[in-house]
Amino acid sequence: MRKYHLFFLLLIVLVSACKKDRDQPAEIIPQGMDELVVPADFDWKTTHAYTFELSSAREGIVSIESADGVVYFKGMISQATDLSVEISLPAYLNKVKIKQLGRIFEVELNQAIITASF
Amino acid sequence: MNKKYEFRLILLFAFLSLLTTKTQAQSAITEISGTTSDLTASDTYTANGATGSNLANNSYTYKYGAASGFNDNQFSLNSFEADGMGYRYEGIPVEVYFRRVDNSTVSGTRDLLFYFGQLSSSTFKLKAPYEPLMESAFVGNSNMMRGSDNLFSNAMDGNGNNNNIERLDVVVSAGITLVSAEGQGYALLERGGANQHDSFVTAVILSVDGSGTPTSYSDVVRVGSSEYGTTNPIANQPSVVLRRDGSIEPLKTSTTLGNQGIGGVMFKFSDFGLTDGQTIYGYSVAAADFPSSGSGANMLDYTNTTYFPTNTNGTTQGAGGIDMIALTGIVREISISGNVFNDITGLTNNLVDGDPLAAIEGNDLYVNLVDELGKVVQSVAVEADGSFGFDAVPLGDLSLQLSILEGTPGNNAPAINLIPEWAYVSDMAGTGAVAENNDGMISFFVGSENIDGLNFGVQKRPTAEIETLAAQQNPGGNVFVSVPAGAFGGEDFDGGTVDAIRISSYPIGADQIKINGISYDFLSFPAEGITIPANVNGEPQQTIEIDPAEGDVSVIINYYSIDNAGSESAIPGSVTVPFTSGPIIIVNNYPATGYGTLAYEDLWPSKGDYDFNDMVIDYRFVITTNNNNMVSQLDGTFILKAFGASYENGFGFQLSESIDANDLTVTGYELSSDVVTLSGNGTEAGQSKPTIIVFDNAYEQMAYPGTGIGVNTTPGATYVQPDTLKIKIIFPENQYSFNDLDIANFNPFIFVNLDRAVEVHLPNYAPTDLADLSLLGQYEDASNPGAGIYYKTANNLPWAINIYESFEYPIEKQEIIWAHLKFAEWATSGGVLFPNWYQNLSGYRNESLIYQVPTN
Repeated sequence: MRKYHLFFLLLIVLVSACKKDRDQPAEIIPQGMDELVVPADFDWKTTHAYTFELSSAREGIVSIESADGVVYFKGMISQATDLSVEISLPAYLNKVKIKQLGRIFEVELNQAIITASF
Repeated sequence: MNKKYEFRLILLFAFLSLLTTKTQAQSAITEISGTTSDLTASDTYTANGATGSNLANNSYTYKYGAASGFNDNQFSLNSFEADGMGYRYEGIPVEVYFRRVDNSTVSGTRDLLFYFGQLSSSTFKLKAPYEPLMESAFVGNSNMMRGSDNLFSNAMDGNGNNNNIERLDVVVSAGITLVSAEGQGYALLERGGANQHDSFVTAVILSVDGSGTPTSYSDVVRVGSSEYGTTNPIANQPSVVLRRDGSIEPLKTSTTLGNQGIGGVMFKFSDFGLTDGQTIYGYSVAAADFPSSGSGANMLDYTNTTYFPTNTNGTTQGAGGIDMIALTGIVREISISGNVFNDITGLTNNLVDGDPLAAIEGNDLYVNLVDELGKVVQSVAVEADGSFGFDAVPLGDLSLQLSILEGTPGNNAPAINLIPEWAYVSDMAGTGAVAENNDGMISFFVGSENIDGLNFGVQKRPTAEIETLAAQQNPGGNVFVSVPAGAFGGEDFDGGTVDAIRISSYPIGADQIKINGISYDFLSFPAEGITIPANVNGEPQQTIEIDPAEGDVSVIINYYSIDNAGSESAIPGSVTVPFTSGPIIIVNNYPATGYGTLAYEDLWPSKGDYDFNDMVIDYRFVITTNNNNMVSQLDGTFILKAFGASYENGFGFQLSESIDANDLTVTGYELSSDVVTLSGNGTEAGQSKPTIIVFDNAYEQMAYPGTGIGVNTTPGATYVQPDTLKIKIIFPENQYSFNDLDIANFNPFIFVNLDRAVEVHLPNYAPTDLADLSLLGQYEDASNPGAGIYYKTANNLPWAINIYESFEYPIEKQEIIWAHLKFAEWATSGGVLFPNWYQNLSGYRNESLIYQVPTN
């Protein structure tokens, strides 16, 4: 009987081990900063830089805002003067609104240069 | 007779013939519309074939009507189309007379008829109910499933289908006064194959005696086979010829016929030279051997064998072989009519009504009758009383289109247009009172009836006013300003009233608009605009407020007036509200969301312990620009929160090389340790780029509490209130742009332990001119200035980080990756994963390793 007990115990251990291997692949967790493998070109910035090329048929203040109203930039554009401005935005931001004189563009932050014409 | 006289005689006959006989004035019938029904009446009898025919010796069962087994026993004419025009059967009672003259073949009364149907196993199955008497079968529109055979044939038919009829009179003894000789007439339909129909002559009866006998005729019209057209409007089917003599025995079959259809010819009374107002009494039909020289007067005496020969040939397409369908009576063109109204109520009362209208502001109105293909059939101008009508229209699907543009028959229909100041407000198709549409077009189907009440309603649109209010101070921010109702206005015409206005688009120059308490911005404003109830003066009855954009700006609200019929003004009105402000000052913040944090390790060029708390400074810049986007002032707020170091470290930052340090005026720094030399304007001396030292010794800014390492990094040690420093930098007017400032790439650094030459910068940011460059690349530092690499270890680890939001730093000796659990994945992914690793989100932190500000 003891032989059978030992057999079942081994079986359970083997099954458990197999299950763990299958569902939770081993994750290598760095024990310290020195173990981090960081891409050589990583700039460690928490922002992304964008260039906004803005133009309008009317003079007025243009703003670049998040959906929840954080104003990242305000500047003046007019019919005679387009505005090209470089702005760094939080890296987690996916889209912004560009507003001028009540008109609003919603743009995705998926390219380095973003153009809007009012 | 010499040839000269003979030629003159021929010319004379030809001239007389033109005077007395017309040809080809009639039109082929191209489409027939009727009602087919399944009758219950039936007759059945047994009899041999007709005496003298090949069927005489056989016995047959004759089944008529319902007994035939067919279900199309009855076919009555509703309407037909000839020469592109529709005609309907008028139903005026007629009397039918077959005028007979005995001949060598037939004497007395012979009823010679055909019925559509067929022989099947000794049974004649005949669609129409049994009617042996020709006079009865031919009266009116009783049933087109039967007719005569060889109506005027006197001889030579191989099956004995001859008769002694010389003239058929269809008489309206009461007379008909012609309303439209062009639109009234009669039709003669005949059984036969296409292009094989029989010839005949016909004339209109101009007078009758007391017995209904014609006493005068019109001109005679001759009809040949070609006048039936090239196709039969009723398809082929088999038929059976039956006859009886003396009106005593039942009809007996003489011949069975193969498939033949029905063709026909339409005669207008004008074809006979008749005119409106004349009275006619019916028409007569005679054999085609009525001489060409015969006149209407010669039609009177059907016993005159000169004009009514008694040996008329009845063979195929012979002079007497017409197989006339049993249909007699008068037809009239189908007409449609309607009216145009100045309908100030539009669809709102479900009626097309109002004052009659024939023109709008000098532009005549036309009604264009358009066919299924979009081609104009006819076009008429609307009469002064607003009425219009078409006296002859084709059958089928048609439409009427009201326009100021007159259509040309055969061309594509012109645009459905009014002048812009007028609108279509109601259309009604057919009789009844329900207005169905308001697009200026009525679609309908022409079958067998005239159609009245095709009415159009139009009206003059209201107007909307244009108003500019006096300029007022721009309140700035998210402040709403009321727009007075009286700034709006409108006017309607002809008794109509303005009921509403529609703000048609988002106002120009407004950050928000609030209507009846509901706020809209550019994105939430409905595409169709917003309609607001208004009084009769066009003034909105709900509040309208605007939040103007900043600066000198005019808010422009475009709107349309809407009247009680729902018509909008042709041209939008507008209310312009000018706002003025003082000199434009634009303020930007960096970071925009609040304070950011700079966190340093200070053992450079040796690596540190990566708790990033050797110097922790929150910062935020306020950048002031003018209306040219030129920087006038930069205000930096720096909050020294902690320093887990024994070194006495200083802090400063450098601005873009685009800016000349000599142009700046800096105040707000706090220097106490005599390690920094400033220029007179507050920037650091000896620097090629503008460099501002905020403080030179953290221990002078925040006193060491006596326990722990440094200040505010060791749990349990006395907490020291952070020190806030405010740096103000004044820029020369209109010299440096926002881009020149490039504030996101400012270059902050610490200098270590009162040694101005030992600087620690963010990764890949260069040291200042006062740094000891010989330290670059020493110990763990792997800077490579030639490659633009600064302040990184060989495995790319930094000595400082700049976080866009305020950073909760680790406690002493606890690496950042242990306290901020997503930092490692962020770094190893090159910033792709967890770009918000520093935020206080679930699973992002080990709070026990983060410095907690004591709450007491």
